[in-house]
Amino acid sequence: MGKSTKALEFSGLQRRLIMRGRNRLLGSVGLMLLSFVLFPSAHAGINLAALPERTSATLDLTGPHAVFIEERLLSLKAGVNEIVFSWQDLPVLEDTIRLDIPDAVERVEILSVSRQPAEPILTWKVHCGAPVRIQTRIIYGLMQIDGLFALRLVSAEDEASCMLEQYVIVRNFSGEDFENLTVITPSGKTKGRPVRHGETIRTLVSSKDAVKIEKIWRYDSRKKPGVYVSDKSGKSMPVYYRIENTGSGGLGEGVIPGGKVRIFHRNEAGRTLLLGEDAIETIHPGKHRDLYIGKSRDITVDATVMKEKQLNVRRNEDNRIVLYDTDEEIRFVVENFKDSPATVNLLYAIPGEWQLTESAIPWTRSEAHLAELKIQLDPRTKKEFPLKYHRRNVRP
Amino acid sequence: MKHYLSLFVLIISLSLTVQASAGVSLVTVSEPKEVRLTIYQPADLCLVHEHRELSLQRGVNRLRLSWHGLLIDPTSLEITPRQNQSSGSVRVIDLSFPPRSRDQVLCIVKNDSGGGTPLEVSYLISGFSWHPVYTAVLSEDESSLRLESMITLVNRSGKTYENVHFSVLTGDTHLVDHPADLARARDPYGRPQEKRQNVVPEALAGSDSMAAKRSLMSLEQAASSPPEIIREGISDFFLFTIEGVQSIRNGWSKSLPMFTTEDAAAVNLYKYDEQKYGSRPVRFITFVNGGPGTSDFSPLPAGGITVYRNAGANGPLCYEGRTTIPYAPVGETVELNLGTVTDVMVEPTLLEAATDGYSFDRKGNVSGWDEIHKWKVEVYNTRSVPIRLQIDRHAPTSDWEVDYDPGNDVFQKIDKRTFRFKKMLGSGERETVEYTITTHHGTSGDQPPKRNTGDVK
Repeated sequence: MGKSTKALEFSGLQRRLIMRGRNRLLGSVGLMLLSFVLFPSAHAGINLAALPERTSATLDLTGPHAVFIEERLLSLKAGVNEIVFSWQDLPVLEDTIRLDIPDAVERVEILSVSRQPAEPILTWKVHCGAPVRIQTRIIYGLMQIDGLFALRLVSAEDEASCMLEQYVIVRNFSGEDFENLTVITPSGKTKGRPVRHGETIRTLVSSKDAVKIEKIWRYDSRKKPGVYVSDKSGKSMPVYYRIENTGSGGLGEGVIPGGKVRIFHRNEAGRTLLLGEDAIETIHPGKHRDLYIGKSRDITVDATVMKEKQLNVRRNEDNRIVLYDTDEEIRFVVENFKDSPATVNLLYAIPGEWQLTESAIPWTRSEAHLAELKIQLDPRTKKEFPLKYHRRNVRP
Repeated sequence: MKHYLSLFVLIISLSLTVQASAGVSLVTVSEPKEVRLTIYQPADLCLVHEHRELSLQRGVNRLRLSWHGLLIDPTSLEITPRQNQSSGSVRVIDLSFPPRSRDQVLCIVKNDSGGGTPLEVSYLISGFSWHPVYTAVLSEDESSLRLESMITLVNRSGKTYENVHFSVLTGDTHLVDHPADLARARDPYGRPQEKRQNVVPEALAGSDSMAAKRSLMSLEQAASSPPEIIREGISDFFLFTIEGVQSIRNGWSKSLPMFTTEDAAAVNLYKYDEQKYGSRPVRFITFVNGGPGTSDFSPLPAGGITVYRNAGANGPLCYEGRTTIPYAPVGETVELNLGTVTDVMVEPTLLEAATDGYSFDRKGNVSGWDEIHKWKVEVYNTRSVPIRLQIDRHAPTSDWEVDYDPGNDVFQKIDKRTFRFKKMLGSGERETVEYTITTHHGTSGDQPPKRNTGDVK
């Protein structure tokens, strides 16, 4: 790299066009626009045309931002060496550039880092006790290249276990072609492969069989998808697959990055059908996630307010109601039209201070304002039950 | 072959390289041995499975999949070994979406054994839909009905499909992205730090040659009976598989008989609810999906239904009405809303109104009272068949009591402000329902607390 960029000032579009033309010209070889110029002494201005080869290129996606790590073999002479790092029309995050020298290398230390104003050039001054050839690492954030994560879940016929595949999708629009790029993800590492500018690749990172899943039908009175329509049309129950990132769940070996998950079902004949998609957050070890598949129309919940009475009404001097208690009753009708049993998880939100006075189904207070019931349903059965409760100290 | 090439929806070109280096390509066009389309309802989604036999060399092979004129979601492409193939011998290492090109994917496949390899290529497309069409024919006495159903497939995908297997699936599928949006996106997975932008929608209209049209017609004429529809439940969905192969031209639709249910017990139910329907009763025909008298049943996907009545051995079918039905699982009561009627009359009259039970606050103002209303509801069935009548009435507060004649009327509390009377009326029969409702207001009345617990009635 010998061209000075000072005399040439292009607009952003022109630079991008120039970059594309340059990339096409150099093809799969790639243009190493990150160059190293080594100065054996403190004199500025003398360029040595040695261009250390990049021995490895890695994209690290384990943090919140993509970080690029390249390893280069540097030949350092005794004394002060100037290492000039420049980037031409590449979206490098300047504040993130770091030169890493292994601790095992003795008598080599970084003296200073200089940043040339308004120029894409960084200079390290490195002192070396004796001539040495060392493997160094340059780490920096590179924009316009990142990774997404995706999951593919194929449930077995009985919907109690699945095969879980984790993919990483590398989107390289950085302006540079990589000949042999390795990607590190929270779930594992991919093999090195070429990735050109403008290319997107999807690579399998891990595949696990016999991962446990639990099918959940959940009615949540707080959420719109769980709310029924009073005239019977549109009744449906949200369905989830729960996976646990634990050893007993068939996972538990590390973080499962969040992203889009496609859920399939494979029957005994080997036929695979798409059940649905969901976008999930990262699953840390020990935690679980519920993957929303869609709605079941064969399990329905009907909730009707049968009673809502005020008790113990207290008024102020202007006869306005200031405080009261209530006596309320909700009637639930839960019906299973399927040929197999099902357990419905019913979450009913009750605001304020409340106390359940009658429920035919065992319940728990999972949160301050949430009553949770688990209703076991045999095939083709219906359960009808009231939920009675008092609310205290309600203010209008 | 000409017509087949015009229908060609997916080209797989095989570049044989043992190592991963670019270079000389050997292009082999592989035709699918079998194509199966599974069309979802209600989502605009179709899952395509193609079975192909590819000659792969031992080691690393590169495949190029490209398409034209189809809305394929490129992120959905999967290549897997067929079921009888050992899954460990053929592995897809990765998929690559090349720069500056759309509608193609490069796939690196590693084959440990070499030779002919049966593979399944699957992907999602947009542009196919299906819906059921129902026809109900009531018996002359309206006590039973025959339910006929058809599956209608609609092809707006941009391509004609010939000799493919079709299945249709009903169920609520949750999607994060719409396949058509992903198909039109400039980059399959978007770009870093940019929102995905759609390209200008391409023209999907394809033109079929006359030879293709004649070929399709000859295929249609060859069939002597409608195909059987196999029904099965898959997880929380229901799948209808059409036996044999079908062909559908781009832009066309095709209807096939699904099933017929004979002699399903039907009930003429009339509902009167002033708040919901106004001053006239509404006629419903109800039957149980899979109820007594039926032998062949499955869930009924949502769709439109036309109702006729058999006017007798020599008479034509009488049109009774048209409506839509929601999804009905087996065992669910299906209600066909045929609209308001004038041949059944319901006339409520307020006979008496009084107040009582006053309470007063410290300043001497009225703080509570009761209202007592006596009502008479006259009902008259002018039809020639018996009917069931359901009269819903509403209370102004949620604190109320109703006095009625239990020997004469069937009473039911529906919710905190609604109660119901049920009546069976013979042909030409008149009856009267009388009741007294006492509602409590003010200190003993209803002032509902504020709540945010979802839409319960």
